[in-house]
Amino acid sequence: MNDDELLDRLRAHADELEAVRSGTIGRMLTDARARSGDASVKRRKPALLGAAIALATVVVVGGAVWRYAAQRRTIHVSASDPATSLPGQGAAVTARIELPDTIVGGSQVEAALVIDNNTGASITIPGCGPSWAIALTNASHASDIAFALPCREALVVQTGQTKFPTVVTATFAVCSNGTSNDDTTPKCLADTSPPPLPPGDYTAILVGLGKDPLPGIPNPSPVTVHLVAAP
Amino acid sequence: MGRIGGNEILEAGDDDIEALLAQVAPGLQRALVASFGADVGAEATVDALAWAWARRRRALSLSNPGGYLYRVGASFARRSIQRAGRQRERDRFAVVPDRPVPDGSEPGLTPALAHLSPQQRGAVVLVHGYGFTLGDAAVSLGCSVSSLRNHLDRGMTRLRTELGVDL
Repeated sequence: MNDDELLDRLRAHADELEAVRSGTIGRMLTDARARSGDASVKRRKPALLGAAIALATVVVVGGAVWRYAAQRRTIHVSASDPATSLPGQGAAVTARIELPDTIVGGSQVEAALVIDNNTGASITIPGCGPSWAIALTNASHASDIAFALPCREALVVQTGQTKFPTVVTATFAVCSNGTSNDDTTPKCLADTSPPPLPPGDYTAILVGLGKDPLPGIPNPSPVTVHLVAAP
Repeated sequence: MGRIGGNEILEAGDDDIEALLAQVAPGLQRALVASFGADVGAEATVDALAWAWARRRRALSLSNPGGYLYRVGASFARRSIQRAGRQRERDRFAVVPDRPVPDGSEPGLTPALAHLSPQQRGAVVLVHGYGFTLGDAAVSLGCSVSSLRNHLDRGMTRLRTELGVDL
């Protein structure tokens, strides 16, 4: 093969990609609009209010969870909103976040959303709504999670306990190589991947596209996580 | 504008963001598909567009929305690839996985492309496949022309080596 033939092959490859791609833009835009949770557009909390909420969450929830974790083991368990699911009071549905209490910046750790469905029937959350993730936030880092995978699938919560595994990534979600006009975006690493989150205490929360990440499921309580720098 | 990723007060009109996304979507999809393969690239395109839709005021303020959304989509794509780690790498870059190689096609091109970095793949396919100018490809990939040229040179060098191209 010579160089001209290689370029011909690349053009043929691009033609094939174009044939697959063509005619899908309208559907993509429709999917994107639905996936963005357009019907319940998110609102930015004022920065100070957001910081206050994050700090209050750390203080109120973090203290209890830290004490619990110190006595137990390295896995945090957070109860759902007490208003809907006090343990031992027959709450129909409860949810909690499980993840390690210490995370290394830049790493990915296994986590889970555990739902106890005591309603006696399965719960189906249809359509594009049940896009969720566990995000790390604190006063200086808002959740920048966006949603990729579960959008096209209904989420079915069977009776009993169901554990939905996920991965929590201790990095920024996006980064800039310096060409962006947004100076708040962190610089990408040399391999173009997003940089690790800075060390400190974070609150792991359930986030989703709409107002309620999982409609019909009570929000799990936030969990405090200590993020340490990579050695 | 506040920090990235947080929830935003959205004041921009739907027509504005629709027009913007309709304008950038084809190029964004080409760039992400070129870099990450047909399936992952298409999915990442929708994710990036959704990200922009939910942050429309921010998206409308960007000087290079296509390039910026490429980087957003690339972040999604990497995450998706990490989750689907068992999928063979080279399958991601076959336009139709497991399809018999048609007459005249280079059977080694897909695995050779799979060995490039996403930026190298994007640069090679956009410039030499689609015929983008270096400037247009750089805008699509959200990088400078000099970076684009480096990705392109390294990608082509590696392709030539792997495919035994006579120089």
